[in-house]
Amino acid sequence: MRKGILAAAALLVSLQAPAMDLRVGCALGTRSIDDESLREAYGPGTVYFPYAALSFWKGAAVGAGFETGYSKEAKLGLYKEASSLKIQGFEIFALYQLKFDALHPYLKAGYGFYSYSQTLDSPIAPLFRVDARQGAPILAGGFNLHLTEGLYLSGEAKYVPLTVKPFDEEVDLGGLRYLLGIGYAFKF
Amino acid sequence: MAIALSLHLFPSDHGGRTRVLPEDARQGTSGPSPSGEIDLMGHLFRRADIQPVSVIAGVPAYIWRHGSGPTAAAMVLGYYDGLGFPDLFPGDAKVQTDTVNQKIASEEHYLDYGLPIDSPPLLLPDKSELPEGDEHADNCLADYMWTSQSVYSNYYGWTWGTDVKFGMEEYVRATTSYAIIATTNRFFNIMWTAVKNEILSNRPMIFFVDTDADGEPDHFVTVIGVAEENGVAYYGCYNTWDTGIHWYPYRQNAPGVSWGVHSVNTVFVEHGVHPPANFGIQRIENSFIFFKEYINRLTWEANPENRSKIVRYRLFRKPSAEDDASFELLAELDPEVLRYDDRGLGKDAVFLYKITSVDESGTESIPALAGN
Repeated sequence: MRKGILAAAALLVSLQAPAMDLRVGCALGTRSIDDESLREAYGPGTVYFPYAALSFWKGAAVGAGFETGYSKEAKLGLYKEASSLKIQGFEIFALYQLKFDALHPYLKAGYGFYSYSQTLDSPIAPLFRVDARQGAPILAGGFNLHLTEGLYLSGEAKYVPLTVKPFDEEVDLGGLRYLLGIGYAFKF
Repeated sequence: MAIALSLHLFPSDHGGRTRVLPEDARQGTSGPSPSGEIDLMGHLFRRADIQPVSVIAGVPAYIWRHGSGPTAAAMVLGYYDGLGFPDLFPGDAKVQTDTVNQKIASEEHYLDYGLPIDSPPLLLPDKSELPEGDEHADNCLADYMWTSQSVYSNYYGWTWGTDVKFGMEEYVRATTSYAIIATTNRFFNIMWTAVKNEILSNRPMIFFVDTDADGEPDHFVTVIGVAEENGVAYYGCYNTWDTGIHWYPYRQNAPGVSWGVHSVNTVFVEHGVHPPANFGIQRIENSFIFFKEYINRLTWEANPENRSKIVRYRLFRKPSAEDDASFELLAELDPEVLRYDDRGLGKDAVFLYKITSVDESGTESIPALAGN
């Protein structure tokens, strides 16, 4: 059994070796907030997305990244009490890209494991602690524009539908991200 | 003369009180003038023998008006009227004006309950009997003491001993914003030192005494002084039949004991502490997007009837379904604070709140209540 798996892996590597690359990059952009109340209070924010992706067959690749950076403050409620909201998440994805010379457009789908937390400067804060995790699918499309064989610029639009309900109220943390980035593709 | 009933059960009065009198309840039965051979003069002190005699100044001496109970009580209240409690009687209560008389026993009282004038053994029905509603609304001490009311077995001018205290309390509550603290003590339950202390503290009292030494109390007097002579304690009183002070030994009533004391009513009137006015509650939602807190917003106003300085409000809360023992102190608030938000409540939380005023002497008012 173990010998069989090793043999299959060796075959896969030998067959795909010429097409493999490892892309490492970081994208920066803005994200919107679908929920109206949340949007009015905290508004859109900046997100960062460092990632790595490994292509393994023609234009197909798998990867993982960490979206972070959304951390906003607002005064909420009748008493205008200070609060903050932080959303971040680890994402895994698969993508398929085409190649038109230096331009490599792609489509991406995946799943994110998001954490969200709200702090509140209020005497009632201990009664309502908002610090939870929830998963959501990811859909994205974008392009890589290669400046050199390895170096590329990227652009991506990503949507994550994320609805949470830590207490009685359902809140839509979903939103659209517009990201620009830079990366490098290591070929081997 | 005295009449004792083994069990005194009466219908509820027009004020809603049900009468269940103690087995040893007695009535003041005296009339507008002393009856029989009684010691009307009392003890005369030889000036040199007098030990400390204390007499409260400023107690008005009133003459019997349709009952010794309301007359004796009126003298006490008339005294407080001159001490900064002017709502007790309209006008000047230092002398027994017609206005004062109307508050002792009004003309309506006399017409409804005094007439027909009756005396034992024939009790004549008056308007205290059914049907209800044909009598006037209570407007004087005699009304509140049910003096002369035949439905309570009172002949003209008679008052049950226990009704003097309650009648005074009801009168003060109904006609003023003051607070009255009154007690009734049987002779054997109150020490002479306590009686002396009342007088030395300038608090006149009402004694229920046995004027004719038949062993049964029959008359109410206003006690304004104490004295001791050769080891004998004396009380000084206005007897409602004249305006002089009469002194009698402080002894328990018993056959052969003239002016023996059956019971002692102490009275203290003070400016009442009232709870805040317009205590109300409003349910509010406060959204923090991920959750809503529910708030019971409690509001109130300073009570304009409070004459003493309110130094704080005390706010209590209990779940509505639980009994009053579950009330817990929620907050103590400065007097300028007129709002409190009870925060962080669940959607279905139902509470009952009460708030009291506390004045600078530490006296706490009765509570005002509000619930969601």
